[in-house]
Amino acid sequence: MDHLMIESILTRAVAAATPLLFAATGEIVSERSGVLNLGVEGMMAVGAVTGFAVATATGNLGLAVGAAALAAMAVSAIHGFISVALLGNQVVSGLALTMFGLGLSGLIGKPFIGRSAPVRFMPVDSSILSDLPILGSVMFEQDPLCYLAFGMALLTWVFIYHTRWGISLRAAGEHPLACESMGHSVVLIRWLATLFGGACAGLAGAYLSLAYSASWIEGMTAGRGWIVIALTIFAAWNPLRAAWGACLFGGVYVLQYVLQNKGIAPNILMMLPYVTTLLVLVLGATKRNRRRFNSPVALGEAFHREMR
Amino acid sequence: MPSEFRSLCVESLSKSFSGVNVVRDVSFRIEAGQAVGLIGENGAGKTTLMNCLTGMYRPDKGIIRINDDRAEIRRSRDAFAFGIGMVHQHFMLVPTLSVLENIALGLERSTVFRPVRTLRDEFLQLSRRFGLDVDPDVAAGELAPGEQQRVEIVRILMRGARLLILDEPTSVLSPSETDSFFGSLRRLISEGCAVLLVSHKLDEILTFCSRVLVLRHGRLDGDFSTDGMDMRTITEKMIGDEETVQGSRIVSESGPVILEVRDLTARNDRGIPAIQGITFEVCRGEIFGIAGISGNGQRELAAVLAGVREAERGMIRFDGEDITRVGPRERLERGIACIPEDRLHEGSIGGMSVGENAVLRSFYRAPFARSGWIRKTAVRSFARSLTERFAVVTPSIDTPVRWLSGGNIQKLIAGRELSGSPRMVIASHPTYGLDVRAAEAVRSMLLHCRDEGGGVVLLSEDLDELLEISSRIAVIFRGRLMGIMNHPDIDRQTIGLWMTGVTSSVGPPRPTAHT
Repeated sequence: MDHLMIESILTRAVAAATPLLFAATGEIVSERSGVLNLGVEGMMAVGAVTGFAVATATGNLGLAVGAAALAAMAVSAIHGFISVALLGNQVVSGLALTMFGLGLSGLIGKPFIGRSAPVRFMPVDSSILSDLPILGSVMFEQDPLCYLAFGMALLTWVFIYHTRWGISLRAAGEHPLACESMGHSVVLIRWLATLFGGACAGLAGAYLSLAYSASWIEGMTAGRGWIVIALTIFAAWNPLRAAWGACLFGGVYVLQYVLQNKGIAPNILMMLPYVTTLLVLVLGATKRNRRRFNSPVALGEAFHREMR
Repeated sequence: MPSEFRSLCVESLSKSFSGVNVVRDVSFRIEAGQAVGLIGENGAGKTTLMNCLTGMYRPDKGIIRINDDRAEIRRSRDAFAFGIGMVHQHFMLVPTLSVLENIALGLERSTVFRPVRTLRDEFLQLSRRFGLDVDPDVAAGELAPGEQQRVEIVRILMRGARLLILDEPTSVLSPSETDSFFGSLRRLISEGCAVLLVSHKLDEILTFCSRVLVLRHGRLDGDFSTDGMDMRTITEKMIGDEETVQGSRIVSESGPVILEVRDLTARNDRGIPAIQGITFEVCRGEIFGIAGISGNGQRELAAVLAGVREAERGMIRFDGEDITRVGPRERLERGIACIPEDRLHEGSIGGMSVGENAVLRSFYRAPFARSGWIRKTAVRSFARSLTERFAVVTPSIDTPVRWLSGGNIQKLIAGRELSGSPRMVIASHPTYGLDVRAAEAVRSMLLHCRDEGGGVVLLSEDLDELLEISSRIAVIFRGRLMGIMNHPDIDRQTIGLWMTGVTSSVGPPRPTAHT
């Protein structure tokens, strides 16, 4: 393999990592507050179709991305209503959200099947930097959304570990009663975190339909939402770890295409990301890692102030 | 934030949960510079009342006045703004956050970006005044309970609390820590703070508080000056009747060895050795007390004896048979009962009813089950007799246990464990957080088991309780037994020293050998 080949693999790996990182960043924030949202797949699909539809209708990429985030946020509000406001079961609500989102996106997307986007995100042009060997194009020849994803992951990391609000967010997921007794509204924190998680999943969807494949196909999220759930655990709820974890998964995606030429059955290759997910979860569950992988204590638990 | 706090006045406060009136029509007043005690039996509504004052619960009706102005306390933040701060019995520190992050949690005047930086100096200054010497960057969960408590007090002071509500503050402290704790509180009071102290330790109320409020079945049953009161009168005020405080009830003669523990070693959840080379024997008809400050391996020792934690090394013999590798149900079948420390999580299942919890240990066999079917009537009648016998206050047998107060859950568990006439009881802090009457009920159950020829291992932090009923007392420190003393030569001072790890004691440690 020459180094041009490696360069292009890495570049595509980072692109494949982008939607995972967007959604994982959102899921990390949501889970840090104590809300497990298994509806990532559904929210992502709604984001993808909304982004594509708005881009087709208006030709404005900014508007399309914004609409995608808002639409997925609206879907996440269903989860917020059930799990935060009504104290319902988060697992059931999240699973239902995935089904609902996939179905809804299929319905909305009917007219768009097989059409290519009139506008799409293109790699930025930074000719001098991208001529650097190997990492040049990996780092400097991506599209703006990709930079947004990594930038958001970094900012979210700063938010979680270095701001007062981050402390409140973590407290809501670790010990909601303590959080509440120190003057916060756990319900409000969880609502905001859930909505942020939804918006991020929407961005991930928009990336798929406006940059990564720049088209709409029903079910184009292809299980990425579930990989995001695993990635969140793999990252130990830390956005920076999620960034390189996403690159790892992105690399596995690209590997599918690379290995195809080597005569390996495509069905096996299509399993790769999911096999990797299983492997990651198994490795994460080893004794040595268990402490580092500790989930937020109150993750998935409904909270109400006067609940006993 | 009104920097001066002059008074808190509560008028006709009521609060109910799903139709159960927990606090009814309570009125009282506290002035700055006062220390007021709040006592009441388990389930009397103390915790609920306090949660209404701190904004955690919204009262159904009633008025709260601060400095004689009506105060709307809708949430915790409002309570802090009015200068009310509370230290809960179960601490409200987030264990995974650092000490300073816990301080910054919800503190509006801290900076948004890197808030802990700006709070460090203030925290260190205040904590020095409280004799608190902790690394502010260490995770709060790694602190000892006494340290966590002082962090909590510093935290509410930094939030401008002038009325400190303390729920069972000394239950996690050693005797010497308790003294310095009350010393710090006195200083705060002399500076114009007020303290509302909730405690079951009536002697503390007597020495520290000038007034005492008595809560009974949710109603305020009395508001007395503590002048001229003694233990007897205050106990009478609290439970109304009955003499309960008794002297020593130890019998010296005991039977043959029933439980033999040799060189027992085990690790805690984090893989760190928690008990190391523990060796002792318990005889029939004997209560063997194990004293020590919490977190010195008591929890793990009790778990190993109950069979829910694996012993790494060593041996447990019960009635002559090696049971080191025998599982918990089998141990129970052989007659070993356990009253666990964490009653809500280990001893009971919160979402299940009182009745179901009452048969948790025996639901799978007659008379509660027949060919795999649960016999509801048998369960219900057993549960009813259990709740009556042990005075468990519950709206009904079908109420989920989580809705009961801690003391009533404990009575239910103790009753369940001891009702099967066990030959051996492992009791961890069985009277922790219980009121006088409930504690006495549990204690007499233990004594009854002893008198029937059973052996009892009593792990407790309450030295008075241990001294009252144990014929031998061992002290555990950092997972090792510092020594064992036999009645009547038990020396309180030496035990106190052993509890803090000092061996060069006044009285010589007695050999562990038993006749």
